[in-house]
Amino acid sequence: MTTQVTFSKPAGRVRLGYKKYLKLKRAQDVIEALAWASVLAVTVMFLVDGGLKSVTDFPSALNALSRLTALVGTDLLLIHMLLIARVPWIDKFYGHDRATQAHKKLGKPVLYLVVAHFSASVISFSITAGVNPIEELVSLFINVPDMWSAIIGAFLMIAVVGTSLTFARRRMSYEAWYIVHIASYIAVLAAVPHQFSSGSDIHGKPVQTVFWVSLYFFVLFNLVWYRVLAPMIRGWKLGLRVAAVSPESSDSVSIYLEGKNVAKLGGHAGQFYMLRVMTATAWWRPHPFSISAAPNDRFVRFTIGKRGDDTAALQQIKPGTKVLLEGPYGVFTEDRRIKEKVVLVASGIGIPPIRALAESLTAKPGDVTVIYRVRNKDDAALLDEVRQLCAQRSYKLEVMDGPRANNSSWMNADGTNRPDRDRLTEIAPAIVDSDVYICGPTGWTHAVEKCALRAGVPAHQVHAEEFAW
Amino acid sequence: MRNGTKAFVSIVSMGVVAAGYQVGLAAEMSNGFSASAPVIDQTSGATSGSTLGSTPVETATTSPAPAATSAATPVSPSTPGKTSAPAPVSTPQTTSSAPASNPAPNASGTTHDGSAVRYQYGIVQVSVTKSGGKITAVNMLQEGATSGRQAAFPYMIDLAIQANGTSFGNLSGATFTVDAFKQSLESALAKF
Repeated sequence: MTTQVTFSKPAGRVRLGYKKYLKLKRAQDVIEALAWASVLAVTVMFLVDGGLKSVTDFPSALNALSRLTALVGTDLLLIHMLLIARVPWIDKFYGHDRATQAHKKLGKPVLYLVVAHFSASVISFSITAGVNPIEELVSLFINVPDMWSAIIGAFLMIAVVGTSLTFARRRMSYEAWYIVHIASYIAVLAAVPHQFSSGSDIHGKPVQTVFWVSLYFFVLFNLVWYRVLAPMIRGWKLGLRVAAVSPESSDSVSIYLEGKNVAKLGGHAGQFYMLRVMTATAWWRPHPFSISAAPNDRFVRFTIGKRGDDTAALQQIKPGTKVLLEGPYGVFTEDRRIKEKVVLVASGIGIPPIRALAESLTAKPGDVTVIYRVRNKDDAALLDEVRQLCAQRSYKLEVMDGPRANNSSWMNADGTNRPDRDRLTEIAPAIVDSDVYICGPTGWTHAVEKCALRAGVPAHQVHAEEFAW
Repeated sequence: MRNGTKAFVSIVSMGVVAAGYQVGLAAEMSNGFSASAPVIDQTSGATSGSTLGSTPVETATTSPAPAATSAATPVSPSTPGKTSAPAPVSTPQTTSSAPASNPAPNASGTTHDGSAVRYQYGIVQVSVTKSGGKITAVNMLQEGATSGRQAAFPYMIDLAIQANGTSFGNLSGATFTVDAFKQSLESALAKF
């Protein structure tokens, strides 16, 4: 396989420097401060309303606790939903992976607050009414308007978070987990009416009503537009179809997509798309894949390894099949680069974004070093292309093949017993003054990150992205 | 967040929370039923539903209404329906037994119990006595309320008798209690 590959030319100009990083940090601070301000706002509204002063005895203390946990919990729940909505103004600054991690982290605290609100109000009311909590719950369910749906919503939320815990996710199929997660939107909707009809902090209070109604609509708009409508509209406009499938190694293929509007796709090398194969059985399960060639106006290419049922099926995909792309997502791009020199590190099927980055980086000969870790040189995806590219642009290429040097090493055995760090600085002497891009399996990626940091690379020059969904 | 931003945001947050707490204390003192007499907001003579949106805090701060001392001001009657212009805001006194008198059920009238209405702060249930098409008495069968909201019931009884129905205004600070009272009252009136 020594077919000549035509590479796209880099843009030719790139902004670098530490100020670029500071600007990013500032933008992140603004977003985080806004999120914090929303929590602060609901707390202060509660206090201004005499929330703490209303506490006179045990039931009223529980009632105040129930109000505060409801307010903060709902606010965090809305932030939690925004984080997964693939909103460009969040993902641009944090990346889809970090937004998703934050989403997962918020899941449990939100649930705790909702459960605290639920139990505190039931117990508080039951003491006031002089009945036991179960009786009170039943009577709330029957008598108080909109409370039945709120109670159902609370139990649904418990189910959603329960199934998202690590141990449960390992046992569940992606499909089952997906259906439960759809239920979470129903749970949130079910809880909305009682907040407006009997929530002591919203009902009959114009300022609070305006605040909450606008917050709900803001989140709803972002969710519906960015998560559902925009990708659908754009996807249909692009009209992409599978043009060709070519084997890259014994367990990976490149899929070329073409369509009349492929030039309008945009995006940057290093980014990924959620790929939806529009067949009767697969359309509802999108999978994330990085583009394996820099964006160009002829085709979009993904290089896909065999990892599960769906990726195995993708190896057999027929030319002509309709494909919907959602994205581009991710910040594993030149947008994060601040130094002249770049070190690109890939392992196995982590090569596609590294290959695309190498093609599109604006760099002088010798400024880019590519390290490619493979099991077997004769069966490595895209290795031939990477070789040609590095030769054309005078980039340094280091292919590491064979078994690991030792259990804690991310490199291959080279006969010596030198630590990874020494070998890394030997391959890339200027690594401290370089941006390091890493893509591979999670454990391996962390090992390289750690090694680069120990070698003295500042944390903000280390870029890694994991697929998270 | 960077450490500098974090420090700044924390200091600002503490200030805002402290200010909010102070405002909360002040608002509660001029508003709470436990501390002073309720302020009756009788501006709308329309149906009971329209009173839900009134703002308790703002109306309360304008009229401090200390208990006792001044001579009893009679509550101006407002007829149900759209006839009357907005009635002046009046301040009933908690002294003696001014509004709290519940006449015993009239022998000539008929009495019906309303349904027990459950709301945030307990259960409210009334029984209504009517004579000659007029409400002559309202009795509380269950008066569940917390944080001094019980003090609102005598005023509501008075208002209901004057309005001869549920078309009376809100008691600021006891919006939910008034709602529950009106619901029970309505169900009782429906039985006549």
